[in-house]
Amino acid sequence: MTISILLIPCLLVIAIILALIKKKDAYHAFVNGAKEGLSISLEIIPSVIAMIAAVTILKSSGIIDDIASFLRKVFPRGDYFAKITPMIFFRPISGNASLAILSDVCKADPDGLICRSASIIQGSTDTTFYVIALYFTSIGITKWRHTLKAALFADFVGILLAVIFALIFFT
Amino acid sequence: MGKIWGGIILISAIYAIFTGRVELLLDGILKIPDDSFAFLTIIISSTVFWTGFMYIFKEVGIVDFISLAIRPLFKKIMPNLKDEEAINYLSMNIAANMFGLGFAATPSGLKGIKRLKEISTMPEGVASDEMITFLVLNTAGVTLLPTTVISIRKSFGSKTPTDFVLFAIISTLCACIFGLLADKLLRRPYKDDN
Repeated sequence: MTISILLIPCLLVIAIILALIKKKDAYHAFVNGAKEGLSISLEIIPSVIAMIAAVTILKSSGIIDDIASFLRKVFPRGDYFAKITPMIFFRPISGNASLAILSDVCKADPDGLICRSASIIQGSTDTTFYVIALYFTSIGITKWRHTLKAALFADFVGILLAVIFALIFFT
Repeated sequence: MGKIWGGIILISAIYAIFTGRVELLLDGILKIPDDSFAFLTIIISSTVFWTGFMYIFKEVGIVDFISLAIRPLFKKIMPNLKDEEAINYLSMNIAANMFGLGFAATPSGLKGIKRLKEISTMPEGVASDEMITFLVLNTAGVTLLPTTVISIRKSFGSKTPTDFVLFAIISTLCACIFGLLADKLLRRPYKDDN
C-alpha cells in the first residue's frame, strides 16, 4: 500500500510547489480556508453532540452486542454484519451519525476489520437523504421522481463494494 | 432524522432497563459530554487543518482546472444540457467536493440547481432529468481524501490510518457509475397525474 502512504506527503509538496509557481501565498490560502473550516465546525457542534448521545446510548444498551453474539451462532461472520449494520444504516441519513459510529467502532481497534470497513463505507458515498433534501428544498421541488431510487442504488453499490473490499483485503 | 434519533434512544434505553444494564446505561449517558469533547476535538481540528490545506489547491487554480477537465464528462452524461452557466456551477460543485471543500461546493451547487430550475421545461415543483442526474452524481460523493476518517483513526493510534483510501476511492467511483446507470434505466418521461 505504498500509494496510500505517499498520497498525503505528495499532495502537500504539490500544493506548496504550485503556490510558488503561481506566486500565491500558500500560508494565507491555508489560513483563509481554515477559517471557513472552523465556521463549519462550529455550526455542526450541536448536531454532532446529539449524534454522539444516540450512539453512546445505543452502544451502552448492549443491543448491538446481543444481536452480534446471536448472529455469530446462526452463521459465520454474523457478528461482523451485526456490528457494521449501524454504519450502513446511518451513512445515507446522517454524516455526523455515521462519523460518530465510526469513531465508536475504531476506538476499540483502530486497525481492525470493523474499523476499516466503516472507514471505506464512510468514504464510499455521501449523506444522500440530506443532500437531496437540501437541494430540492432550496428550489421548491416536491416531486423528486426517481432521484432517491437512483441515489440509494449508488449508495448500495458503494457500501456493498466497501464491505467486499474489507472482507477480502483486511481479513 | 428526528424520529430515528428519538427511536434509537427510546429502544436502547428500554432494552437496557429490561436486560438489567441500567448501570451501564447510566454510565454511558454520563460519559456523553466527555466522549463528545474528545470527538469534537478531532473533528474540529481535522476540519480546520484539512480545509485550510485543500484551500491551497483552490487558490492555485487546481479546483478550477479539475472543474474544467470534467466538463466534457458533464456534457456526456447530460447531453441535453446546453446551458454553459449551469454546467459551470455544477462542475465546480463536483470538483470542490472532490477536495472535501464543502463550504465552496455547496454555494455553487445551489446556484447550479437554481439555474437548472430556470431552464427546466418541467411543471412547477417537478425535478428535471438534469437535476436528478446531478444529485445522483453529488450524493455518490466522490472524494479523493476522506480526511476526517483518517484523523479519527490516527487519534485512536492506528498504525496505517490511510490504508482504506484506495478502496474508498474505487467504491465511490463505482457507486457513481452505477448511480448514473440506475438514473438512465429508471428515467421515464414525466406525466402529470393531476
